[in-house]
Order: sequence, then structure tokens, then C-alpha cells
Amino acid sequence: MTKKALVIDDSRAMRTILSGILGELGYEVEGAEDGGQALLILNSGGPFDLALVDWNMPQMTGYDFVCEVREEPRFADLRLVMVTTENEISRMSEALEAGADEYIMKPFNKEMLLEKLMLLGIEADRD
Amino acid sequence: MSLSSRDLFEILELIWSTQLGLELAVDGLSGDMPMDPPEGLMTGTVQISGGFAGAVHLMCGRSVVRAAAARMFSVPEGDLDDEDLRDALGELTNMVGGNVKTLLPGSEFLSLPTVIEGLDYGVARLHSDVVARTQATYEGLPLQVVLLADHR
Repeated sequence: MTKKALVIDDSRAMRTILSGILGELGYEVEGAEDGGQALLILNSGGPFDLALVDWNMPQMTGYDFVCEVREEPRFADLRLVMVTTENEISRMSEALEAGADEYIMKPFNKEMLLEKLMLLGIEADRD
Repeated sequence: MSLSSRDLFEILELIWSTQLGLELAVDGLSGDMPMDPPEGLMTGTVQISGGFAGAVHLMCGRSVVRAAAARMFSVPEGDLDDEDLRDALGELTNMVGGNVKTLLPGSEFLSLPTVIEGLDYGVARLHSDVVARTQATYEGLPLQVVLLADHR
């Protein structure tokens, strides 16, 4: 079955980049421009396997989104990857403690993202 | 606070090569080339606060932003509109600012990016000094990164 991913970033350019890479990897992808919109999609759509979450967004930050999602037991299987320019250990620890499964630093390329997904064991099925 | 022109250039080069697959050239790291492209100048800004307080500007002509945006949106340059260019420059500025912030001990928060554009303008920040600046070129066209520190 095709895996589903949600890309959450206030930049349309970054959503396009991430969606393009995930599409090439075989994911079905939806996009959200902030955490609030992402929660609406998660609550109304079918189950997602993966969410790539920008840290620095208006309305609801990526960190706040991770905290909200992890309070909902029905999203327990959703893998959360923070996509961020912030590579300080303290920030990363904060995100991981809040329930993020991995993080990737901007800038990144397809190989770097794939490596993170392989670490999580959630590569999409590819034909 | 110690951040050199070389540090800024390396950040810019990393972003251009890794995220965009485009190659930048060093053009005198001091950043004294006039930034007055005839097609208009775009400036992205993020603010850093915490133990270090200041701002990072990423400045380049519309044609440089257009080339970068075409890579980011995976479309021909002619298909891009003004909003695409602002979005792309904002995201690139966010990346530059985030990577700069990482090298500044004590800095805690990075603002969302803002983008301004126009002809024949300058950008000033009150009560701050330029502490590092770098310049590169993409296909002969200049890009500049400026780091400002607020007076304490």
C-alpha cells in the first residue's frame, strides 16, 4: 500500500521541494502551511505514515505541533521528522523529548532525507 | 562573537549547492560590490535574539532569486510569479539565518523571514553594526550576506 506523508512548512518552495522528493520516493503527499492546518488534515484525512515538520512557522510552531500530536494516542504510529535550520543540541533534544522521531537540517538533499527515513524504517514502497 | 566573511560564504555556498544544486563563486569576501541590479534588488531578513541580538540580510538581484526559485519550485523561470520569488528568497534567508545562528553562542530565537524589493534602496537597522559580510556571484551576478549585531 502507498504510504502517505504530510509536509508542513510555511514556505511553498520548501513544501514543493519536500513533496517532490517524497513523491519520487513513492509517497502520496499532502501539504500544510502551518501546524493548525496540519492538525485539521490529520483529523479529517486518512492515516498518515509520516509528517515532515518545519520548526519555525507562524500560528503554530513545529515544536507545538509535535507536542499536540503526541498527546493524541490515535497518532501514535505517525512518524514525525523535524525539518529545521536549528541544529543546536538543546533544540534537537527538546524536539525529540516532545516526541519527534528524527530531524533533518536545512539545507538537505534527497539522499540526506532518504537516509533519515531509512533510519526510521519507513521507506515508501517503490515500484 | 566571532564569525568571519569566510564563515558566511561557506554557509551561502552550502545552501546553494546542497539545496539548489547551483554553484557560487567567491567574489572578494569583503562584500563591497555595488548591489544595484537593474532588474531590482531583493532583500530577505531574519532577526536573531537572545544572548546575541541582530539580523541577517540576504541580498541579491531578481534574476538570481529567479534562478534559485526555479530550482526550488522545479519549474521554468518564466513560470514564476513575484510571490514565488518572495517565498523562495524568504526560505533561503531562513536557511542562512538558521545556520548563522548556530555559529553564534547564546543566540536563542530566529524570526520568520521578511522580504523587501525595489530599485535603488538601502537597508538600515538602527542601533546596530555590521560585524561580518560576504559576497559571492552566481553566473556573474552578486549575492551578499550581511550580519548585524545590535548595540547592547
